[in-house]
Amino acid sequence: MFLHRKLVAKVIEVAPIRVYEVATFYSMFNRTKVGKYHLLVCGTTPCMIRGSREIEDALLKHLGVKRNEVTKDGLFSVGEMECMGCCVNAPMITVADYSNGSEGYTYNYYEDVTPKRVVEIVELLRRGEKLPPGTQNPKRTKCGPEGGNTTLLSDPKPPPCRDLDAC
Amino acid sequence: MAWRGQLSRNLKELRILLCQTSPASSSTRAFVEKNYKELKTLNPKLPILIRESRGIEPQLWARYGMYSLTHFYQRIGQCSFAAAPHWDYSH
Amino acid sequence: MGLGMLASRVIRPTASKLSRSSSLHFIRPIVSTPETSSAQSQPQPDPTPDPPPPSPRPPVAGARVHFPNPEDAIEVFVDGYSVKVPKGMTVLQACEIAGVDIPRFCYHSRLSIAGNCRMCLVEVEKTPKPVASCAMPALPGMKIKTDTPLAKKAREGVMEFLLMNHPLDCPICDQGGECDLQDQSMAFGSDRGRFTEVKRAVVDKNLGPLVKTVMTRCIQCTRCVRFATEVAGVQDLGMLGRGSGEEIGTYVEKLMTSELSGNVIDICPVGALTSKPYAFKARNWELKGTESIDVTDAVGSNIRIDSRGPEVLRILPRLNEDINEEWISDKTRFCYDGLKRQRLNDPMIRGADGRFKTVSWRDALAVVAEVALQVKPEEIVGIAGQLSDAESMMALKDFLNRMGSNNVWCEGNGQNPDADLRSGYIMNSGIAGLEKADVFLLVGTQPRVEAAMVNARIRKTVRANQAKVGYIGPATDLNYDHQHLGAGPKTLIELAEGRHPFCSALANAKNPAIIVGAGLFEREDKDAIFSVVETIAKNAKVVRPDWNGFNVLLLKAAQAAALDLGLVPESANSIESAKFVYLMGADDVNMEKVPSDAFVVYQGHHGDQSVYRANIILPAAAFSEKEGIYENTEGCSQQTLPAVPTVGDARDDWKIIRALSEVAGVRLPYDSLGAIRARIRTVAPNLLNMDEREPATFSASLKPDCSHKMSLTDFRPAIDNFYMTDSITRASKIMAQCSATLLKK
Repeated sequence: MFLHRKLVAKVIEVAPIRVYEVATFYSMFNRTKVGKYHLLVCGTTPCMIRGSREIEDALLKHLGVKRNEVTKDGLFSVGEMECMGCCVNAPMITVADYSNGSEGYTYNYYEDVTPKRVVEIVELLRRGEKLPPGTQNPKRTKCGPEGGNTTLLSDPKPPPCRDLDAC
Repeated sequence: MAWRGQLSRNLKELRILLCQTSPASSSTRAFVEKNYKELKTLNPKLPILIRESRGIEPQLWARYGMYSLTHFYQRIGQCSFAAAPHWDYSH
Repeated sequence: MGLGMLASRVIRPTASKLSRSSSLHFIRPIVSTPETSSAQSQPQPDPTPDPPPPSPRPPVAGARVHFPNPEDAIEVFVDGYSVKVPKGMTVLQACEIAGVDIPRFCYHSRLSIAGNCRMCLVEVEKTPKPVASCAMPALPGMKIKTDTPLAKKAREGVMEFLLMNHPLDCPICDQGGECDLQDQSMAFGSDRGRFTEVKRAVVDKNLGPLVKTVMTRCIQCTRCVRFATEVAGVQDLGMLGRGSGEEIGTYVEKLMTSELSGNVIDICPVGALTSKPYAFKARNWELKGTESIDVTDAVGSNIRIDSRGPEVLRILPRLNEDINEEWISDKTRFCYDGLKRQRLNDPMIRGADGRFKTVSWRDALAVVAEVALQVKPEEIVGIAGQLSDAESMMALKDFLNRMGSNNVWCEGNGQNPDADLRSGYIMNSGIAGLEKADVFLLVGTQPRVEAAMVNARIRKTVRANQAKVGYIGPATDLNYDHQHLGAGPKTLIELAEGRHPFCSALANAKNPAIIVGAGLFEREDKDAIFSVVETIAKNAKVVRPDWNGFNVLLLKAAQAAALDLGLVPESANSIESAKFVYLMGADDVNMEKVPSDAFVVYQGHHGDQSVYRANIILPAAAFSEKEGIYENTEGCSQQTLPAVPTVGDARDDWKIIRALSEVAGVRLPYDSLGAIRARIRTVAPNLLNMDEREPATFSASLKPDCSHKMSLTDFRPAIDNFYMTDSITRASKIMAQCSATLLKK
């Protein structure tokens, strides 16, 4: 499931270099072979502060590969990506699932992961089990705070009408 | 005319210099347009070099063997080609 | 600048401070309606009610304003001065016409607009942010300000970002002294940086033997990418990656296989792409520039020869819109090292043992004259080489004529050239005129290798007007879309008889252009081929009073002038019975045809192919060392100027022949370049109208009907190796490397 630049160039009738330019610009084009489950660890600042480095290390150690390498059985590969906008649930990983071909392709976020949890996710995937995407912290619902809401419990008061002259 | 076919027997090269646009060269241009084809057909090996250059006065040069002769003319269209023997040595 | 303007500029910042948003004094007020602006009691942007005066400054680099339609003119104001520009021009071009040079890196007038360097930011009234002037179209009444504090600050910011990752290696950079980044950082750069991180480094790319890359210096202007894609027509370069990882690269490691690749050196604004052969050779301020003409093909590209002392160090293009625009081919640019190798520097005579012995000029000329006087006049043959200037060919012809021989010609013109009508051997539409054509028919010519600049012009037309190109000849790669109609005369006959599908394209064309290759001059049946092509031209109305699209593309620099001067042999086979052969730099003559007892004089500047057969060598000056007239393929004569001194005891070609004529007792009547040009005035006065194209008025329709038979052998390529076509390029090491690496595939 990676981009064959020469074929793409042939299909859309442009020079291969033009395809290559686009493919290198967008990080979501895979330019090398990836596993059936391509695990992408967010490395942008909020996730990094919340320990994405440890997440990646745990994944790599568990799978016994380096970054952007594919495991021997061809099932997994680990990569890094830029911010996915899940900063409130940092750290997070994405699983690009190619196991069902391009028709059954899924791209799911797993948020609030810990080094232990990602290893579990990998094993679940290996067994072919489905697990619900989203936050992996059982105490949270979606991006709400742990243990339920603490603020904004009532309807907020509307702001006063804007007084332009006062500005 | 017989002399036209005889040209290449005596001449080595014929050069016609004229301007592309000036009125002074207009009769020369007409002469070339009228006579070139016949002259060339009768003398296929004789170079008849027609050279255009802005603002020059029309000239006819002929080379007999080693030397060139020239004839400056204004109205070659009217004058008979054979009757223009008053050519000067240039060098 | 008027005093009023100066005053208004001083007052305006104060005006902004006094406006309502004085509390947010760092935000400039944006005046959205004229009412609000008049509500302020401060001076108006225009201090006087009169229309602003036109700019007192001349346009930058002599930029010309051409109004295709006078109604499309719009008025804009640059720094308060009014300037009229055609609709569709960009703000940057409007500023240039107003005489204001806007700093820029990515913008290049001959390439598409990228707008990615942001150096050309200017302030436009009523816009919230500074605008990139290269990408913003000028609109009527636009008030452009190029030297306000805002514009200056914006440029300083851009410059700081550019310098962030740019290495501080100017002392070892070949671009030093002629670097846009260096120059502009003098105006907008800071003397210290705020960037404390590690500068990025980029792996250098291998672009072949001509272009040296130091990719760390690259500022990602993408000029080279656009040049390669648009002008050179090779889709090799691209911009890879993003952010700080962005770099210029190729798709899989690949050399740049273009005959125009050297031009990326000129357009690169920094030292990322520099000349490999010139690397670390000189600094540009040490060089003496001589404006000259290229002689490696028949285009006559305008060049500047940069030399230091006796050595030519590099060759750069000069701007000439009618001929080479501002590009030159790689052969033109890099042939110069051939001027240092294999040079002939002393007169030499071949002794009985077959070895050359150095002699004095006096002895050499005496020997030549003695032999020449011993043979019969019709056994004397003179051949001018492809690099000969008009003066020396005039002298050679006069000398041989005075010796009684009429067998003098120029190599490449064939045994039976037709020099009568100039329209039969020049490019009648002109090189720039090709841009008006909408259908091209290339007959036996491969312009990409025969005349790279003409090919670039055809490519430009194909890109701009979607012109159709039909090509007859051996299959070739022409770097633009073309129909390969056939390989030889058979297709020509089909076209002439109207049986070929391409005939309808020709017939429907507004300005059809036919380009015939001069390689066909060497064919026995050239008259028949030309007459068929003339029939095609007649059917397609290629020659009309307002358009003459019948073109011959010559191969060699001397060809046009030789035909103009009438270097036409009396008999086609004279070389087979020659006893005395005078080669004036002619190296592409088939020496096997020369009888073994013939005496061969080689006068020239390089020990090339003909020297192996020569009995005597007379050393002459190369094109970089003499003043001489060359006529290019479109009939425009231009002259070379001496850039460096001659080598050894070499002399100018015409002087050697003049001296020889005196020894032989047939003294030629000219002793100076002026006198020989006066002689040319009586032969081909058009050669003396420098830098002006002399059109030919008489078309081929005057020619008598041709009775020759056309053979059906296919056309052959006229040039096998683009990089090595004459004695200079064959002696060049760089050209040898190019042929080894770039032609391999």
